[in-house]
Amino acid sequence: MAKVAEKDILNIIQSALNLGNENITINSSISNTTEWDSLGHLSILTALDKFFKGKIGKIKGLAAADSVKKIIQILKNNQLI
Amino acid sequence: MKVLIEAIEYYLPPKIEDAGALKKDNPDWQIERIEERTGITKRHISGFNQTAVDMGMLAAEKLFLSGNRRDEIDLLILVTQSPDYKLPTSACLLQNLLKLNTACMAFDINLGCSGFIYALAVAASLIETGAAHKALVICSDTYTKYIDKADRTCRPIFSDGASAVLLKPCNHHCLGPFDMGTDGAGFLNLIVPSSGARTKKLDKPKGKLFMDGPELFMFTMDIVPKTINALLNKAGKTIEDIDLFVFHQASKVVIDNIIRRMEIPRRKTFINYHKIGNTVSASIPIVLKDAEKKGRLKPNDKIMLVGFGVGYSWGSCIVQWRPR
Repeated sequence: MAKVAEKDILNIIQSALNLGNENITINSSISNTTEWDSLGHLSILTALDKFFKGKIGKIKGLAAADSVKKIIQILKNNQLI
Repeated sequence: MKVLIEAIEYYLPPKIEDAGALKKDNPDWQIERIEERTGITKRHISGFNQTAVDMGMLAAEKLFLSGNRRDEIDLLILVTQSPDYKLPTSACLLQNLLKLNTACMAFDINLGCSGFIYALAVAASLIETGAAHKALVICSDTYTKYIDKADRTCRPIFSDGASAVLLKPCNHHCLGPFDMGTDGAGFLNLIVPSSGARTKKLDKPKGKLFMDGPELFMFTMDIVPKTINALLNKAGKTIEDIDLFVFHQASKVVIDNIIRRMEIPRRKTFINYHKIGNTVSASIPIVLKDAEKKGRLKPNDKIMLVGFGVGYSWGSCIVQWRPR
């Protein structure tokens, strides 16, 4: 797999939440983003699981990572980006 | 194991809750969005005074109405997390209500979504040792009685219902192998707090079902592929050798992701969560019965059953259907 960049993660989350014109930024989170609620969070986890081909299932803390910063940090900690 | 699933019946309470009921209580909910993710449009709700024992009895009586003899049953297992009382054992009440022989063993298994698999393993083991000769496994729960009307995670998913399955010895190896496991570290993610002897307060509404959806989802994405692969290895089989996969009917998002991850062809799956909901341990036998009624099961079919959830607990097994 080619090296994954932070912007790839932003694109994944943007697409998972089906946001249209609203853009995901590094500061986006469950508390400030339309459609990012518990259902939206499941969509994000599904999209990440698809992108990383099943490698995220055992990553601790990802389920509770309710912001872009937290998701990126956890993925970095697990050498996925 | 030379144990056969002889018959299956199930009971669903007649009261149905659909999108209208959810919207009436929670006008701010985006019902269409919820149904799109869960895939569940109807849930069955037990009557106010109707318990898991009551529903289990009704499911079992359907078996007896179709000619199976209650006096042959010498093992009754009730899988429930909605017992009538903390004690005595609800299976004992059910033995009496069903007028089963007093020589019948009867006990509860306190498991949820993996419960049917565990009950199959226990019942089949007792039959193989000769301790039992005809087993009645009833799965029954009234989770909806634990759910708050405003709980957007649990209320759109869980449904009440009961299944009754008869098991008997047979001449073929038509049950097994099994793969089962536990990870109690996940106990907080699906729990009814303050419902037993543990008095330590949790930061969750007392006596109400709490589910952390994302944590449960990650658990299933980690464990379910592992148990499927472990079971296939134990059986010396591949996905191509399995004719039908029957998953615990957790929800659309869970089952779709399992199917995607394992690359299971859709034609090898059967679902009914859309019209029945998540009936906890009864969901797998209810799917088996519906698949049978729809002609999806043929003699000698190899069926993989996979249950997973509360505990965390999981179990999978292979069943050979109506061997010839």
